[in-house]
Amino acid sequence: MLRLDTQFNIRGLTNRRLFKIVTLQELIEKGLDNCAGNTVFEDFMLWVDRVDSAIVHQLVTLPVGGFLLADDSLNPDDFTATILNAAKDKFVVKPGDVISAGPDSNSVRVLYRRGSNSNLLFMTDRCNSLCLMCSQPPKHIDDYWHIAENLKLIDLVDPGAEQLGISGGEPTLYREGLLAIIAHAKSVLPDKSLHILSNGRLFCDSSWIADLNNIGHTHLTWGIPLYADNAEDHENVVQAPGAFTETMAGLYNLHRAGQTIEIRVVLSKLTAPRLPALAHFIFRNLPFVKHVALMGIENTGLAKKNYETLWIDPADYQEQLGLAAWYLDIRGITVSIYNLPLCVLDPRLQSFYRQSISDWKNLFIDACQTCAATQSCAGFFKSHSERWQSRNIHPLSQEDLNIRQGATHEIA
Amino acid sequence: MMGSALIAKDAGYRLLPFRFLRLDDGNSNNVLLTAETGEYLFVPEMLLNTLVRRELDTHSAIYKDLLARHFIYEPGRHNPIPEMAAQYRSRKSFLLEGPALHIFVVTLRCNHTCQYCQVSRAPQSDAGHDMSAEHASHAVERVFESSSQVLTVEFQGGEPLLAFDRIQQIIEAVEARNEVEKRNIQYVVTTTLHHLSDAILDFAERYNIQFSTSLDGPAFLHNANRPTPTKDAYERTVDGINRVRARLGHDAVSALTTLTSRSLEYPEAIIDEYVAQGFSSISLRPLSPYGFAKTSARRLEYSMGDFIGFYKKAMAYLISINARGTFLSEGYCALLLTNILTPFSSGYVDLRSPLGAGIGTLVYNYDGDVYPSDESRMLLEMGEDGLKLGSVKQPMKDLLNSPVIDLLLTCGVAEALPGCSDCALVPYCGADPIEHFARQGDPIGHRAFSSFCEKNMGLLTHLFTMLRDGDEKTLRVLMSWLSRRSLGDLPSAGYRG
Amino acid sequence: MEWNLTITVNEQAYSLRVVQRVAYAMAATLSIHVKPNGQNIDLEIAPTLIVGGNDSRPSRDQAHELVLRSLNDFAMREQIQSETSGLRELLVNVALRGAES
Repeated sequence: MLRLDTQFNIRGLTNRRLFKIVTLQELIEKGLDNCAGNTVFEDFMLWVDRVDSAIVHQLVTLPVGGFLLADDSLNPDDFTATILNAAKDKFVVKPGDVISAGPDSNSVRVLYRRGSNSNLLFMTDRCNSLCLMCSQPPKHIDDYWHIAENLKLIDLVDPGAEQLGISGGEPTLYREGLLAIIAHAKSVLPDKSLHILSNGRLFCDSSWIADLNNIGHTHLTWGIPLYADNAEDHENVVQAPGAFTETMAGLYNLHRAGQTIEIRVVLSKLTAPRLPALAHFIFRNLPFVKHVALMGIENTGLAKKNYETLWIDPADYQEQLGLAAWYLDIRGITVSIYNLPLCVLDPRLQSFYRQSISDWKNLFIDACQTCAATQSCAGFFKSHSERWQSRNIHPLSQEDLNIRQGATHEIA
Repeated sequence: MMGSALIAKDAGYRLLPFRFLRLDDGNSNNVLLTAETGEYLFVPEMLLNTLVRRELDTHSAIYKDLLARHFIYEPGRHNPIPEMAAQYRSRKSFLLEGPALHIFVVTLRCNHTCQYCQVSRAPQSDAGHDMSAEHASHAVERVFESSSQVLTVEFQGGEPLLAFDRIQQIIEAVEARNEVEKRNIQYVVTTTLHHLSDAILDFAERYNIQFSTSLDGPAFLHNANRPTPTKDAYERTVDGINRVRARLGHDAVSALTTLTSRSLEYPEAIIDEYVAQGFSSISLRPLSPYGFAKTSARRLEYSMGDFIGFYKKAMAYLISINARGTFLSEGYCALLLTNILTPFSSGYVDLRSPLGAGIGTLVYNYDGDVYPSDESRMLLEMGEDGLKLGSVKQPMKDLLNSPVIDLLLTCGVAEALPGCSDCALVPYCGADPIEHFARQGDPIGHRAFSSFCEKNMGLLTHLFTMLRDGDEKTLRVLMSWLSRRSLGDLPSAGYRG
Repeated sequence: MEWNLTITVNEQAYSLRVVQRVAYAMAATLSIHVKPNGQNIDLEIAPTLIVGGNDSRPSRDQAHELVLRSLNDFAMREQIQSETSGLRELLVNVALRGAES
């Protein structure tokens, strides 16, 4: 698990801005094509390693925006312009990454990590719901500046195919900003697919349909949570009266706009009992849904204080999980199970399992030392603690692994 | 919109329109509730009373089930009409398009003399009962006047392959026109497969033609039902099946049975024959009241009750075969499963409401007349041409404006028919005024004496009982038919609620 | 075995519409002659004569029970219909109006 931020010594920086980290070789070979969009050399921060120490006096003449001294033997006094050096964790920032740095703090954030499975554009800390298990508790602030930052970020990421997430808070709260980001991504990143997390409530306003159609992004998926087949239970989870009706109306409008929709369900004591009934409701009323994501709960944010309401041992909901997953699968809706350790999953559900926790969030615990399945397992959230741990956690043997990966098929 | 929002203080829930059916089968959940959306629940009798008296415990699981499946709603709270309308629209989506099935009766000539034949047969050599090139050409124009994006062009007869040059002309004309129209078109030929040639197979390969044939069972049964001068109907049909498969692939030919009273004695043998011939689907069809079946000797007759008894035995045998690893689905059962378990229409024109005849199907007869269904032109053979829509030279707009269509629609909406409007099974069933006209002389028909009703009620209640009571293995087989996947791919039947 | 049976119901409890539906639904096994009688309605019931005989025709007692149950069922249907009046039409209108947007 690798964090997204670390501390540097920072010199020569007058305002907070983004940098694309590039090596000398990349700079020579590809120049501005290291980035997907319109950039200038000022946007680059040159990664300077020990091997480059012989030619430092030539490097300093390059028209880049700054230098990241990756080796402690390099002397920052040899450089002018913006300098980052003495990283606290040397693995956090690497070539290809896009960072945000400012004069006000030593903390440097990685906004885009080359090769990561979970790059996302963060839209806002604001939200119009207040889910009991919210992992990103809302803040009522004006943070519209994220839009401009994301538009610039889009220009600086690597070209090529990958999936980018868009999340928050609730991204639709900055409607024009979100639409601008989707349009810019379509123009600059045509090979990248966007996966946008939203509660879908504001889509009950059908004027979004024309706006989305006008942009016409064809690689877009909306991940929208639905926690129950009835208003009371759903609204109890999201703590917003009227949210069920708004989300349903939003789902139909997104469908009318030709959008690809995924339904997400966080598995908790509130959602597990009626999970099969929810699967039934999704298929009958929202048969156009392409994918259903069934997700283990993350013990962070608001979930911590709502432990009594939320916690159920995953061992105790495997039956409901299986009934729901197979119900949907038989009817042609793709199902994925995320964010559970492999050892607690009913082996017959192996075909739905995804090794899914973001690479910056996951870890393994002591009990996993002798497990044969760590390469295939999502592991635990960094926020994991004992009271959120299933009683069924146990190391899997190679044979256990073979059973899961081979024979879920039963003939007669 | 619902007015109830004005009485937001009204505690509790209100009813949505629903229907119920009592199954006298000793099971404690013996009442089947069906919602307008087609969703269903089995409940105990007491619960029905409690529900209607509005005394349900609003914190109970069953309350939430009834709410989620649209039997009740909470005034002033979530308005379920948008999602109910979405389901309803999806189930009736066939109404939004013009006729999708276009049947060309290219000839009445045939070499068989089947006792249950639904068409007047002309001898093999008599070309006076062939469709003319001119009529064929008009009919092709009619096809494209339908707004449906998906079209099936089906060739019937007699034996359509005896008029192969007409089939060629029609398909080539359709293809030429489709260069511009760009519809999704499937060709089907219903044939005994006795008159195949390499030229026919070449042509079939080029246009991806599907073949549909009759296979009534093992040789003794098939040949007894379907006499030919050379007494080898079975052998030649099986030979035809093999030739088509060798050339066009295993799934290029499908088969269905027609059941005589003799057939009813051999459910296992008929199914074994289909397994032996490697079919993945069997369609067990009872006799219909048209053509020669109507006038044939009593020995062809059997009651619909007899058929249902046969069908239950056949289903039990089919389930056991599937459970042992052989995939063979029953066609009618599979479409009833689609009707019950999904919000989609099955696509089957003969079981829908509003009816499929005319508005979903058009039949271009060899003589240039147009009919709303295959059965209605068979009534012609019974001296009854009252269901003719008009001439193939008339535009489709005029044909569908015929008073015959009005009559059919008046009698063809099951939700408005006596006996059907209250029936819990109406979301999964259909209206067939033409069959009622043929059997009872009245297109509305009396439901208590309707064999169409007896058949569908019998099969639907049997299927519902299996869904409620069947063991996991039985359910997995049914789910394998619904999803068209092999049993081995489905280790679980999933949620059955 | 031939028998006949008369059941009298109060029209307030079971409307003529309900009684007619019962008669229609049971026509295959019971012949029910519906006769308004002041505030009441008489149902004159006999087993249906079917050519060729029908061994499964109900006895007098069975018929009594079946008819009463059917009366209650259709009365309940009428109650559901009156409480939900207009909703079915609303649903069909919303579902089928216009082209797909």
